[in-house]
Amino acid sequence: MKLYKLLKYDIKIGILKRWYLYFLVFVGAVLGGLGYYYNLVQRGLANTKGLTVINIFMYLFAGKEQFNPEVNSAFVFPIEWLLLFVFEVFIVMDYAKSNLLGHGVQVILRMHERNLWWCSKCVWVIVSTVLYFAIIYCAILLDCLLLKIPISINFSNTVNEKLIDLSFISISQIDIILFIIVAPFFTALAANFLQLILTLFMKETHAFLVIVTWLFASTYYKNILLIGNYAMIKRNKLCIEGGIDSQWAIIIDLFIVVLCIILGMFTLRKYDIIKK
Amino acid sequence: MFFKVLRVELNKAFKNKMMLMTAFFLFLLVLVHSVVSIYDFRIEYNNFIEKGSNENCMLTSMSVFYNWIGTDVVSFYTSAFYFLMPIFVVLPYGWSLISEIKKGYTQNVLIRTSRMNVFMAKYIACFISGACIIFFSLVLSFLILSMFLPAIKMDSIYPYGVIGQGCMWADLYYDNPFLYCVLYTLIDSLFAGLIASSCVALAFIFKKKISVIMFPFLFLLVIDYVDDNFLLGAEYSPIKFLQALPVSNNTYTWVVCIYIVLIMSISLGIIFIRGRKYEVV
Repeated sequence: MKLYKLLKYDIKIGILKRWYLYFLVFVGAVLGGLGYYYNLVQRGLANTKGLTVINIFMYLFAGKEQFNPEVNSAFVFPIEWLLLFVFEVFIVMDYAKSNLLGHGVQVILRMHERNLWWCSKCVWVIVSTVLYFAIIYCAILLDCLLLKIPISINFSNTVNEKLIDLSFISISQIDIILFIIVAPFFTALAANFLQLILTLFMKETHAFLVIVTWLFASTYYKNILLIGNYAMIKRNKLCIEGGIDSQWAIIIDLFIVVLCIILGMFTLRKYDIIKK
Repeated sequence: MFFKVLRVELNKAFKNKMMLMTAFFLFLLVLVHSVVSIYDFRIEYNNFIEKGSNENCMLTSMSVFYNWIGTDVVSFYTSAFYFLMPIFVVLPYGWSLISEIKKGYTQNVLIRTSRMNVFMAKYIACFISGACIIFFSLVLSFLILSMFLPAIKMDSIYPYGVIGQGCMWADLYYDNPFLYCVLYTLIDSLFAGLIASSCVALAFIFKKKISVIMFPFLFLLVIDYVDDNFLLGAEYSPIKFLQALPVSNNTYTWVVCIYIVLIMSISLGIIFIRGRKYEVV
């Protein structure tokens, strides 16, 4: 019952009262979808047979192939992918810490239970991440309805090839779902939990800086330790040799989440909430 | 009175923990980049000694003018430096006005001197703190690399970083690369200052410190998205055109000038309009 009340409060203050952030995400995603269609029109691909909503999602989560440094090639980061994840991390950046430094102290003192406060914040992060992605998917679906792009699990290889230099010989429907829903969600969740735990040790802005640097490094290097790789289709083993295995990626993401929850519980037990 | 306030603000801007931490983080980034560049140079130089008489090792690609953090557009460190620049420049002192408004410090100062004295002193202090942090990072990178890498003049027969004829100061890069690097250091520092001082104006718009600190970064990311997808004729994204060699499109002087005028006029406009009518209580 205590957890339910805490969670209700977190959702009210951390999500409902900050509705404008989620609204901004919705507007951004709708405009992004329209921008994608504009690009299709510019390249004469708008009427390509087989173009579906999956093409838009693949464009969003394509990321960037492993960068090969050569003398005359500059590094251009995948801005769509970065914008998506950076804003996601930004939304959950300060709520937990500001709550802990504000009246969270009163809540913890009255409840005599720090773990519940932490659990509530963890659930809040999960709810916020789910909501963020749900809003983006809804906005893209709305774009598809407006632009009369079919909503189907199939996709056009031609569009992907010409627009984002990505093509598959064969791909299962489960892999598509892994690429566009499961892997990005769990990666974002892991990044959020890492940021949540870091905010207990440093300022929110510094924690944000660390996570953003980590995500940015993922766009440059292909490395299993850089979790951003897990959410990029172009780094997957179905696209490149020696790429990331989605199933392993999800297991690692979940491991990071569980580790952060446990670490947070232990840290918070001896955390000086008055002094901080 | 203005200079007294300015002196206090500058003192606060340069003697705070955030300034020290940001400087440490940036200098660390510059140091790691320098170590990697010097290590690469040693390998390339040995290769040149072994095979230089038989094959073209593109000796000038080892030059300090190509490996300096401003021009090394191939490396992760340069990309990270410019990508995170909007956060780095704001962290030292960009947060000060919103923080002081919240704590009530500004109210105490405003009853002792005029509003414009306080806000303009704050604007200048933020500008100098942001500009200095980038200026010294770029200079440090150049000085470290100059100790180990040759300062060979660039050769126009090689397509370094695809710098084209129409690109801003392209001739200068080949004729006088040192002056080119100096000018880019100044341009980057100017932009860093402008971004940092825009936080003073943002403090009149946003109520949360986090929003003031993060807005320039998120806004520049949105500009980069628009530039990447819809504006292909030139480089319109500051994250990209502040890098001394072109990243995906040519950089033009008029784009840089428009940005300077726009950021400065909008920031100062907001400060003049909102600052004059700012209510102490």
